[in-house]
Amino acid sequence: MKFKCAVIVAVLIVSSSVEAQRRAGGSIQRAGGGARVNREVANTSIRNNQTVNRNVDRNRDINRNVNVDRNRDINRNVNVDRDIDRDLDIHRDIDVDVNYDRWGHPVARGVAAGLAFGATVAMLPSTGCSTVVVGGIGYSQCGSTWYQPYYSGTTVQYVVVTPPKN
Amino acid sequence: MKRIILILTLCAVAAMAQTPTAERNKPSARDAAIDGQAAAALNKMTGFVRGLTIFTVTSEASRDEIVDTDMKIQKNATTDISVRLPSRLHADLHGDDHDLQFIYDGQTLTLFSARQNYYATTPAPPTVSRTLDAIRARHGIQFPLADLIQMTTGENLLQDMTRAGYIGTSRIDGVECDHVAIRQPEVDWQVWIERSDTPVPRKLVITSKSQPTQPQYIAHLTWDFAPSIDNNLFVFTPPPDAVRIKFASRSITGSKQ
Repeated sequence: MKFKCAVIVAVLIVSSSVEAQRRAGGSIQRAGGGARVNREVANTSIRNNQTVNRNVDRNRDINRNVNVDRNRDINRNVNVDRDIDRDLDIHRDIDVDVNYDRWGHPVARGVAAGLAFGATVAMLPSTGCSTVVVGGIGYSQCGSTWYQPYYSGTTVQYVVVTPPKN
Repeated sequence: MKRIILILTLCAVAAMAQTPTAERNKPSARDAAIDGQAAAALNKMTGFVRGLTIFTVTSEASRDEIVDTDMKIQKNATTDISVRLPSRLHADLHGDDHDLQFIYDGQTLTLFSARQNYYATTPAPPTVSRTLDAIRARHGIQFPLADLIQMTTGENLLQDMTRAGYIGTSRIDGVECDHVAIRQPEVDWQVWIERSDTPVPRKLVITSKSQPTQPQYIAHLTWDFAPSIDNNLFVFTPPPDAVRIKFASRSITGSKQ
């Protein structure tokens, strides 16, 4: 009898934690501890993306540097890229690090975290970083880790890159 | 057998309940869903702002940000926008998380982040209207109050409207306004339009329906139709220590707002 009760309790615990996981997983952007990759915010526009994209397509207003190197590895892209007017091609599938804490503050990841090339963070480590300009573009060197700051929308983010060549 | 009858009854009730909704969504029924008084106020507003070529608008805005899974936090920003159509644009945004300058000179768009002293520049189309759409599609940049600026350039902002109602009159910042509520598939929005011979939007509320918490953006607007704008405002000169960075590009399909 005792055993049966324990099994039932165990089943209840398992199913409720599964339920909790399901609820927590409501957004794929959410990671453990209430931290998130991106901020979820209210729209500031009533126009939908399809309308905007249609206008842009019609006017052929995406200039040719947009699709540069889409299929290239990002690190090679950053190094090879000598044209400073080109955009930075960020691979979304690499962008999986937790960037904001529970209360929406950007989180600095320690250099020791050993971030992969192409990983993106919202904040640099607070000490030990210096700005280096290579080919007219700014980089941040934090110990042996190099970051390239870039605008994701209007927010500055930092992607881990191989050291840029002069 | 009883159960089958019950199911059939429920199906019939559900079908009856659905019919009016289906009819409402037909194009012919769309006009009926747009209240006449609401349409009149919206048309007065769009007609007036389309005549503007040089103006400034200041917004005091709050925007919900979701923290701790489902809690809404209001972040505030003040933005001063100067427009000279068709090809000059400047915005100064001072917010909780950013101090940003957007500068468009007819050829390039620059985004300067004063706190980090970073700037990025990108070639832009020849008009304000096309530039606003291009930077949103290409870089995910939502220019402050881009919708209102697009309305002055003649873009039809009412094309996604499925329903509009006239709520009543309301005083915003001491000025009598018409309060209009609009429904669209992804957002609901409300606008308070000045009841005068300058029928501009005085307040705007946008509710995002795609997120379960339905976060809102709320902006109070102050307009100047005869501003003296310094031409230098539209030219970006990097501060001495400013560092140039890049914009990330985004694929045009599947881009998120």
